[in-house]
Amino acid sequence: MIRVAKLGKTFGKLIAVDDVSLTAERGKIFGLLGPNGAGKTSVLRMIYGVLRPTAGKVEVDGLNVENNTLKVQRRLGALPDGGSLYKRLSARENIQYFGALQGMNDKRIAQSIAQLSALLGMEEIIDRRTAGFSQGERMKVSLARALVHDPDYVLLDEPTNGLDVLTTRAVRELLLSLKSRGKCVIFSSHLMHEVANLCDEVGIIAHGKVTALGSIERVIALAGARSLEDAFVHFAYREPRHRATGNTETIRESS
Amino acid sequence: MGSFVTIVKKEVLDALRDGKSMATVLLFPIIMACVTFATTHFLVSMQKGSSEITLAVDGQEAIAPLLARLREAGVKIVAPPENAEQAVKERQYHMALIVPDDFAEKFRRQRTASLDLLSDHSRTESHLKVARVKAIINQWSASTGALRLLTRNVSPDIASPVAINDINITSNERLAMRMLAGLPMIIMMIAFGSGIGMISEMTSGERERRSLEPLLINPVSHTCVFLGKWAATIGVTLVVTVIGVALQFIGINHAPLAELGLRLDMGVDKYFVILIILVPVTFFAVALQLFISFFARSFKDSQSYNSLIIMLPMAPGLYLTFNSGSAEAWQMLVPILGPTALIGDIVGGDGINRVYLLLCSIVSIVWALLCAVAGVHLLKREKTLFG
Repeated sequence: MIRVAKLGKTFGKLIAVDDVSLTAERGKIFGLLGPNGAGKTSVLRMIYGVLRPTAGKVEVDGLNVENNTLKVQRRLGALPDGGSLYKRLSARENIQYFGALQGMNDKRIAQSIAQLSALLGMEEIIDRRTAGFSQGERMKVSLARALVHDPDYVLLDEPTNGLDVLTTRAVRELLLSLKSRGKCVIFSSHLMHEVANLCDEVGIIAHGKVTALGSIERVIALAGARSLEDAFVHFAYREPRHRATGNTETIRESS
Repeated sequence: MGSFVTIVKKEVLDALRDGKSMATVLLFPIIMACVTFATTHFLVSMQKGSSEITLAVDGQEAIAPLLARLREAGVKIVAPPENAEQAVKERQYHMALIVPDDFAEKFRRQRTASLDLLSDHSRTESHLKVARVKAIINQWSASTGALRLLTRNVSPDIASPVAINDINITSNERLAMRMLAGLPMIIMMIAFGSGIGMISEMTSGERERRSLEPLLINPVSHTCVFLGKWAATIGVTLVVTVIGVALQFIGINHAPLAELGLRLDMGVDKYFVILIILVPVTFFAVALQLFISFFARSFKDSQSYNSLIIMLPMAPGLYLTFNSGSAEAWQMLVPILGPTALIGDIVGGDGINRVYLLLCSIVSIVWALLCAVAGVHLLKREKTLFG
């Protein structure tokens, strides 16, 4: 389980993340929603250990990420927003590199690449150098690179951005297969229909704070809306009164 | 250890496939070898030119015996131009000898008769020729004076109470080294410049392409990432340095130093000793450049800063050019200066002082480790990762 407790992050005077708490469990897909600059990427970066929180903590299977970064990173697979590939290496070499850094042996890496390549439809590009790859091809390789070691926790920052229909479908099927295998998936997205179809739970972040948290049905009901998109607009773009007063007016689903 | 080896292998493979960077990396030592080759040829041709002296003389009839002596010494005597001073100023002649009207009378009366030698002291290339002519005239003057004393039954020794025996203790190689004073500096520049393209690419370039963040999500410590990149660059830099120094040796061995009677024996033994000196230097150079590249805000900044780093060996190089001589103990404590001085000793045929070699290697390694620690610290900063 990933447990985020009272997480905060400031960059100088800018408050990027403010008192964010959420949990994501194995066998579920958690959708992290929010407008641009809301703090989603910062939250994900603190979960996968490349940003240090200025307040609160993140735990993965009870391990504090800040004190056990490498241990936690062995259990994680992450696709950062805008992360790129090594263009002079082939798709296979890119994935092999990350597999080796995860401590896998050559045989296991080869098996994993064969499975992911079939799952994501990468057979034709797997031995091509990644320079000149389309966005969809780059995304497939990046996904395979994040999943090569079969991690228990998968963090994906806007994985379907700019993808064509077929690739988006492949990614969706991949996420569902990860869920069915008991993995925990957290992904951020702007595409409400995608979130509505995939996620078991969502968290909406605005101005660095969680403004809504719970199952999709519950979040829609709390907003008094008819769809997740309406609920998103309601929670993401309303006036952030709590920032002026310092109160956290976060709406949470009672468990 | 496994992650370290993985990073080294990946970085080397990535660098070898970067044709543009590799071409730049290999071009640098080739250009440096051409510079050495061309410089030695130019200097030798200049020195050879200094042996052909043309002297314009106004009033030749009054100094016939002196002119005979000058001709004997290989000086070509020519008629003076209309305006000798102007001709020297306009560089038509290196010098002109003017015989004053009263010269013959004073010479006949055995009084000191002066000659005017016009030359332009700001012309470096004239210095040797003017000095040579002056020496011949002084020699002739001394022998004429001695003859005059002998005709008066006076020993010429009375006029020379002190004589200097000018004994040159410099080896032929040291003399030849004067022609190649910049060689140690060039060799150090090769060690400093060979990894630059690769370093910028794997540090600020990786951050700019946004592949550094995915790399650091893997369970690999920042220290391991830094050390992997450091080791990979050291490997490539050493290979390029081996090639670069070999090209320098080939260039020097084909320089026509023998035409000046100079000998510079640049054998395989010297080549390997220089490479041993350069190994710790490479450790330091690469660690320093990695540190600077992680510090730089962009790929372009990194390349600009590192281009300046290539110039670092110039400071001790120039110091040693103007303060030539064997390496001294204190120099070993100064990074870059110590190895440059030791390379100067090897090329100059003085051999290697093993204690000095050990001392300057330790200094280079200590500085390399300091740069590496600072580099790892920089890599851990969120600002380095996200700009």
